[in-house]
Amino acid sequence: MSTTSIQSRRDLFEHLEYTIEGTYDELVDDQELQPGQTMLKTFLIESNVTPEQLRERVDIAEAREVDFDLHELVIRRNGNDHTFFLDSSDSRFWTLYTLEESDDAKAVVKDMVSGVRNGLDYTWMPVEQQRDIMEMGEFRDVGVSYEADEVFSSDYIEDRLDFGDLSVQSSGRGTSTLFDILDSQEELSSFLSLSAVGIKREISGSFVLERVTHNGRFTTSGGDSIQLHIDTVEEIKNRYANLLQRIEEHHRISYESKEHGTGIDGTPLVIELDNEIEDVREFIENIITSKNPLRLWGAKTKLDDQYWKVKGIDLHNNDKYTMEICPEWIRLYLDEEACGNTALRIYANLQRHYDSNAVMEVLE
Amino acid sequence: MQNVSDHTQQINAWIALCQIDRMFPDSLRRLGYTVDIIDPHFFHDGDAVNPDLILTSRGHNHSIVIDCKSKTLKEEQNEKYEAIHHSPEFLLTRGVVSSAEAGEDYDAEFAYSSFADLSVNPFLPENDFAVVHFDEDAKQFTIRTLEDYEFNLDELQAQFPIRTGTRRLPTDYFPFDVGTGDDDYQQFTISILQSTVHVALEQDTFDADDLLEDAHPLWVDLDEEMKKELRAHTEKVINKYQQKGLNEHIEKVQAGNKDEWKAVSKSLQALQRKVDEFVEDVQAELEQTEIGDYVD
Repeated sequence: MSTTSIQSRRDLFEHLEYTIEGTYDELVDDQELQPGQTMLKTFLIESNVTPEQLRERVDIAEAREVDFDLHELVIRRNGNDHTFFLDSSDSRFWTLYTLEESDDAKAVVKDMVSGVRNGLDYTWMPVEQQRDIMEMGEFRDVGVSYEADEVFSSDYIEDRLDFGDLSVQSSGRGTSTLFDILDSQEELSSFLSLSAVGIKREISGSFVLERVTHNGRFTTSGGDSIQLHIDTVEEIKNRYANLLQRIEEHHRISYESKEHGTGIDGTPLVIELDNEIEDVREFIENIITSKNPLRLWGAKTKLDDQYWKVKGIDLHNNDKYTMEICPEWIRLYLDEEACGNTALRIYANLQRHYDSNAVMEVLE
Repeated sequence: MQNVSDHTQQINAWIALCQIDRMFPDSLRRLGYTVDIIDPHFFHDGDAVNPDLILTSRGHNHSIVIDCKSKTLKEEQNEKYEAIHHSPEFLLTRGVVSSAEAGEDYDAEFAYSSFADLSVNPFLPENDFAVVHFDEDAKQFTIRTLEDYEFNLDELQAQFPIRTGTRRLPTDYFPFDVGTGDDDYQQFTISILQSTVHVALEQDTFDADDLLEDAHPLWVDLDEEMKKELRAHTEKVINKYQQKGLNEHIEKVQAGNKDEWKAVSKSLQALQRKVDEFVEDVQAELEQTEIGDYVD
């Protein structure tokens, strides 16, 4: 895409508004986009680094400052260049805009957030926050994607789980009803992991069509107001940021050396499971593989046959964590300096790949 | 529970009673108790006093000073702890207790805590001490005070017996006993392995002190004798890990008269595949080692 005319935030947003109006017109008229025409993709990224540090970790062919805290980045992947606009005005939650093809955009962002100690992560939205998104507008479509096979071995799935994967995509009339019916089935409810929710949001005569995934990717299939899109992203980001802040405020264990001894502050998080773990040792061996999506390294010890302890490292920031795991729950201790996103990655991925009814209470 | 000493379990349980945790009762938190000090150390009448914990409630202007025991009690310990009952305000005036407000109505009580039945112990004193017994059955612990050895504060005593509803106690507020008793070997070995990976990814080279500061929250407050013992333990553990194959990831480097290490490979997926073997083998070898073998 030609971006030389974009010299400010206003230019960028006008360009993106033109795009979402165009894609909507094409989809309404022809039900498909013209060759080369793509939808706006917006990625919400959790960051513990600066944009300058990003450049040391990603193969950036070109970088241009467009406006304050707004950079155009041309990122090279497999010999191809991909254009993104990085808005880092919120230093903890970056917004990346792109009009690249969906698969390319996803692959670039995956590379960006997956390195060891690179300080970047997806925004891992728990099911509760995805359901809140459904309430933000007219419910349009839903993706249910239980993908145990992304985390668990085929042997574990064969022996211990009712589903290896379960995928349901629905849009249009009746989607809401279909989802309610599935949701009401007790034997299915633990496996109804939301991968994406789609809404039509209308405010004061403006509208935007958004599809939001579990890991903070927005695909805008139409609309007439880029400002409404930005507002939608901002509102969802604020809810996520609030959750993260509460975790970091209350659920990191810190110790303070005093003249006469040591003080302690903070309390662990507890994830309660509906889908009880049949074999805790096997379960742990599947979740601490150092691989995506959980990115957890760890060593385990047995406390009793079905109660184990894991002490390890979260590879996204090199933060320490400890888990105590039994069939009914997981207790998670975060270190004093730990990133709260570690807890949300563990929780959201357990909901997505193991038990969508898992519940983690975070103190207010 | 396996692989955690009774002493460490008790300390964690007392801390957890002051925390919000859906899987463990918060009986003491509801009375306003917070963990004031872990491993307090102070002096009284020329004696060094070193119980395990002090919990303090501002609302009740009251502290519980706890010593977690196995089965044995010593007469001289009783005498040291009697001072707390006779003149609790010294905990305030010397700044030992930080969470309570100075005032005439401040009180502190001393309590022995044990998994064993201390009622048959010949040295159980005849005074106002509370004695708390962790009684384990198939489903849970019942934390009860012995008859005639109850807390003086009525609201506190009314909380007992506390039923935990689970035998699965929290274990990581205080991850291992700094005395590294046999039952905490495994917690010690995985804590050192965790810290080795953590520190190796943070800094170019590191030594045993770096690992211990990272692994145990009380490290900086320990006395020099204890630090010396733990250094020896740690070097033994990391050398065992080296022999088992950690040397492919962590390399020993010469730094004067002390051992240092540095990371040579950051492939944690490869390391992950060996971790179970490491921990089990090192644990088994350490269990066969006499305590005296650690001290150089």
